[in-house]
Amino acid sequence: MDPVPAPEPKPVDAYSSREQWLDALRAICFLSHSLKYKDTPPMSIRVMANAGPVLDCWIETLKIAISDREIFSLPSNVDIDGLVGGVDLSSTLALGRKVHKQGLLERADGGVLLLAQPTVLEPAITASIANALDDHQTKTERDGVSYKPTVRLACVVIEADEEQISAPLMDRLAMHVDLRSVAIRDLEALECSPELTAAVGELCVDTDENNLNVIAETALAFGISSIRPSQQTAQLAGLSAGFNGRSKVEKEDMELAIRLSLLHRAVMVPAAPENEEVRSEDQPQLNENNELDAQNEGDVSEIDDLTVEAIMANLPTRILDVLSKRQKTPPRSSQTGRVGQNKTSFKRGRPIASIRGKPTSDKRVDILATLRASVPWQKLRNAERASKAWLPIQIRAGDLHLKRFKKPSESTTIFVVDASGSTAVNRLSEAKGAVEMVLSESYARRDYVAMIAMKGREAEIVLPVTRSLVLAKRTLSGLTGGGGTPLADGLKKALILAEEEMRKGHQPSLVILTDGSANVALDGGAGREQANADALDMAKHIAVSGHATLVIDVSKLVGKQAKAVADACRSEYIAMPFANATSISSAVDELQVANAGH
Amino acid sequence: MTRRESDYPFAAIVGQDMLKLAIILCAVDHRLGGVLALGDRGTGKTTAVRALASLLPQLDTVKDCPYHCDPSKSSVQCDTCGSKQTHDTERMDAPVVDLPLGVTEDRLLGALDLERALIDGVKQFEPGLLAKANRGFLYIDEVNLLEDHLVDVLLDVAASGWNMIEREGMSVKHPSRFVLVGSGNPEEGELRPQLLDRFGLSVDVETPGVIKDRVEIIKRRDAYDRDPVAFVKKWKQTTSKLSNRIKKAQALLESVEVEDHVLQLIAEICIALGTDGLRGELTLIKASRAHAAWRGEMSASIEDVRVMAPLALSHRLRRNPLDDARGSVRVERALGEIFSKRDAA
Repeated sequence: MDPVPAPEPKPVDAYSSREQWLDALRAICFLSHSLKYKDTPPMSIRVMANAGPVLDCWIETLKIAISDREIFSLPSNVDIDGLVGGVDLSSTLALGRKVHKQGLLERADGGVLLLAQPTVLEPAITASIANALDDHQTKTERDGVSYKPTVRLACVVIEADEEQISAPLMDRLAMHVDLRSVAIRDLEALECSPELTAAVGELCVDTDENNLNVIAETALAFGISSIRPSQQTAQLAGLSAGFNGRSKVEKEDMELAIRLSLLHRAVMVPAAPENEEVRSEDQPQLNENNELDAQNEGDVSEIDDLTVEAIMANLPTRILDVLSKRQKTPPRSSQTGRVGQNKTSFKRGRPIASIRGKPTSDKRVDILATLRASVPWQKLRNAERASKAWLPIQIRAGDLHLKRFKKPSESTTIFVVDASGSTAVNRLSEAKGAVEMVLSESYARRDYVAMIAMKGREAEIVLPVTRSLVLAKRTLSGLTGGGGTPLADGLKKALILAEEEMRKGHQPSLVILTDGSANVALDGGAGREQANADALDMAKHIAVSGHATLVIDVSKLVGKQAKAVADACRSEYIAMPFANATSISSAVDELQVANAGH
Repeated sequence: MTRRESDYPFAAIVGQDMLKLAIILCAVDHRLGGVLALGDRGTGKTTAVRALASLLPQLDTVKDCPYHCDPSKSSVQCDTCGSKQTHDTERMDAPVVDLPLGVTEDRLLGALDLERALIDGVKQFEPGLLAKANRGFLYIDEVNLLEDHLVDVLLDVAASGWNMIEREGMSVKHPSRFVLVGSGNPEEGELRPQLLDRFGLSVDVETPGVIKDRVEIIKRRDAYDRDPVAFVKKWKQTTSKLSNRIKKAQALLESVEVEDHVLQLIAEICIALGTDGLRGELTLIKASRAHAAWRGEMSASIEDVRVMAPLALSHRLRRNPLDDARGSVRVERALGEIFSKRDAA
C-alpha cells in the first residue's frame, strides 16, 4: 500500500459521512446488546479512524452504551503470559499454594477488549484473541497452571490504515465502521441519537431462509470465501430488526447488516463495469424482477448472471459507491504476504519470552527468568541438602533460561547513491538500472526502500522510507549527478536512518553505490584526505552497528578506494565492471537472506 | 465428560468430505499418522476437528492410571501398570486434547508438581498434556504458530511413542501415543517441512462455493449456537451410526489385504511424484487399507489408492518454484497421467 498520505476520502454523496456516523452508533448498539443478552454471540467492531475528537466521542459513546461493563485496553507489548495468564509466582510463594494469575482475556470477560495498535501484535497474540472470540473460552496451560476460564467478550479494534490487521482476527470482527470522513459537525447534528436509548433489550429476530440466501449470494458475489462474515451478517440483520421493533427481517435490516459486515471484505465487485450507467436507470425494474425471483427461490445453487444482477439490484446504489471507492486500492494478495516469517534469535531484536536451555557463547542467560524458575523448588532442594550448609538459593542447570529475541520480519533497503560529478559522467545510469531492479523486487517482497543521494556539500535523503515503487522510480529517474562526493555524510545519514528503522521494527540493510573517492569531509569542508578519513570512520561505525551492508563499486576502473570503504564497513563488495543489474539484485537478495538468518 | 454433550456434532458438518474422511480414517487406524488441515479462515477446520470427539469409541483403561494405559498391552504401559499382573479396568471417552497457543514446556511434557514442592517439599510428577493425550488425539490449532522448541519436543515424542522427563533428579517415562491433528492457515506462516512430513494425511480445506450449502452451514451453526444441547440431541443418531461404522472398520482393519498389484501402483505413484523417503509410500498403503476397511471391503483396491493418494502425498512433494499449484492438484495431475498410461497399455 502507498504510505504517502492519500487525499482524505471525499464523502460519497449517497453514503454520507453523517450516515457513516449513524452506522458507527448502530454498531455500538449491536455490540452492547450482544454483550448483555446472550441471544447472539458478542459482536466485535473494527473501527477505521484517526486519533481525534470523532474517535474520542465514539469511544465515549461506547462507554455509555455498555454502562456497567468495562473497557480493557490491550497494551501493544502484551505477551502471551499477560494475555492468557499463568502462575502468580509471588502469591504462590506467599500463600504456599498454587495461585493463578488472571490473563487480560479473563479479566475482560463480559466487557470489551480495546486494541488500539492491532498491527504490532504478534500472530500468536492475535490468534489467541481470535480463539477466545470464537470459543468464548481461553485455555491456559502454563507454568504448572491448567484451566479454562469462560471469556465472553467483544473486541474493538482501532486502525488508522487499512489492510494491516491480522487476517484471522479480522475475520472475527463482525462489524466495520469508518470514521475517517466523519466530521465534528456530523456528530453535533446527531448527538442524541434516539437509537442509543431506545429499543435496547428487544430480542434478536430470526433471519429467514430467503434472507440467508441473499446473504450467502452476496458474500459469494463479493468473493468472500470465509463463512463467518455471512453468519455475522445474518445475526446483525436479526439484531437490526429486533431493534426496530420488527418481527421480521426487512430489506433495510439486510442493507445495514451487509454494510456493516460484508462490504469491507469484498475482494471483487459483482457487476461488469460497463453496466454501471445502465444499472442505475434500470434499477426499479430489476428490483421488481428480483422480488419475483426471491419468491420462487429455493433452488438457487449456482450464481448465474441473473442472480448476480439480482444481487446488484438488491443492493442500494450507495453500497456500490462505497465498494467502487474501495476498489481503487486492490485487495492485498494473500500469497505474497510475508507474515509469520519472523525469526527468533538469541542475539538481537525485540525481546520475547525466554526458554529453558543451556547457555553457549552466543546465547545469553536470562537471570530473572532463571531465578523465577528456581524459586519454587528451594524448599525441596534445601531439604535434599539437609546435611550440608544452608544456601540462600540453589540454582540447578535445569533452571537456566536463555534470552530470546524476535527478529523483525519487515526489511528496509536503504540505497546510498553516489551522484557526484565524477560518477555522473560514466556510471550513474547503470547504477540507476541496478537500483531499479532491486526496487521492483523489493516491491514484490513488500519491503520498504529509502534512498540517500550524495552530491554537492552534503548527502540528502531524496526518498524517505516508502513502499511505493512508483515514487521510488520517479525519484530515481529524477536524480541528476553533479558536485562533490560527501561520502562520510552519506554513510552517516544512512546509519541514522538504519537505526531509526531498527527501532520501528524493520530490519535495515544498506546498499552503497560509490566509487569510494570522497572529497567532501563530514564538516562540509573540501579536501580529499580529510574526506576519505571521515568516510572510513563512518564506515567503521556501520561495521560496529552490524547492519547488513553491500558496497557496489561504480568507479570506471576498479580502484582500491571503494574496496577500502567496503572493508571498513565489513561489508560485501562487488564491482560494477563485473556487475550488471541482475547480479547486483541477487547480491542484495543474498544480503537479505544473510540478514534474516542472523 | 460433558464435552460430548455440547460439542458440535461431527455428522452435522456440511461438505468438507475430504477432511471428514481423513479424520474418520485416523480414528479407524491410529497409526496413520494424523491429519493436517490447511486452509483459509472461516472454513470450519476447527469445528470439524473438535467434533471428532463425538465419534470416537470408548477405551478400556487401567483404573486410576494417569496415562490411561491399555490393560491388554503390557508393552506400552507405564512403569506402574507394567509392574502389575492384573489390573482393575474402567472405560473412558477417548481423549481429545487441545493444545492451546502459549502452552509452556512443563505443561506439555509434565513437570514436578509446583504445589506439592512448595507446601510439602515433596517431589511429585504432575503429568502434562502428553500424558492426557495418550491413546487419543492431540489437537493443535494454528499449528504454524507453535513455538519451534515445543514442536521439536512434540515430534520426538510422536516418533517414539514415549515421553521421558528428567528434572530435579527425577526421571519419569510414560507412554504417549497419540494421533496428531493440526490445523492452520499457510498464509499465517509456513510450516516446517519436518513437521509437515510427520502428519500422515493432509487436507486442503475450502469453503463450499455452493449457496445452498453455505446457507445450510449458517443455519446449523445458528441453531447450534442458540441451543447446543438440543442440536446435539437432534444429531445423536447419525453420529452414533458413524461411530459404530468406525468401530466395525477398526475390527476389520487387521484383516484387510493389500495385493501386489496395488502395492505396485502405490510405488509407481510415489516415483512419479518424487516424494522424499518411504514415509509417503507407507502412509499411502495404510491409508488405502483403512479406506477399504471403512468401505467394509476385505482388500484395498485401485480406487482406494486413487482416493487416498492426494491426502497421503500432497504435503510431501518437493517445492517446485515453477509450479505453484497446490500439492493436491499436482498429485491429481500425476494420477491422471498414470491412469491414462495404464488405460492405454
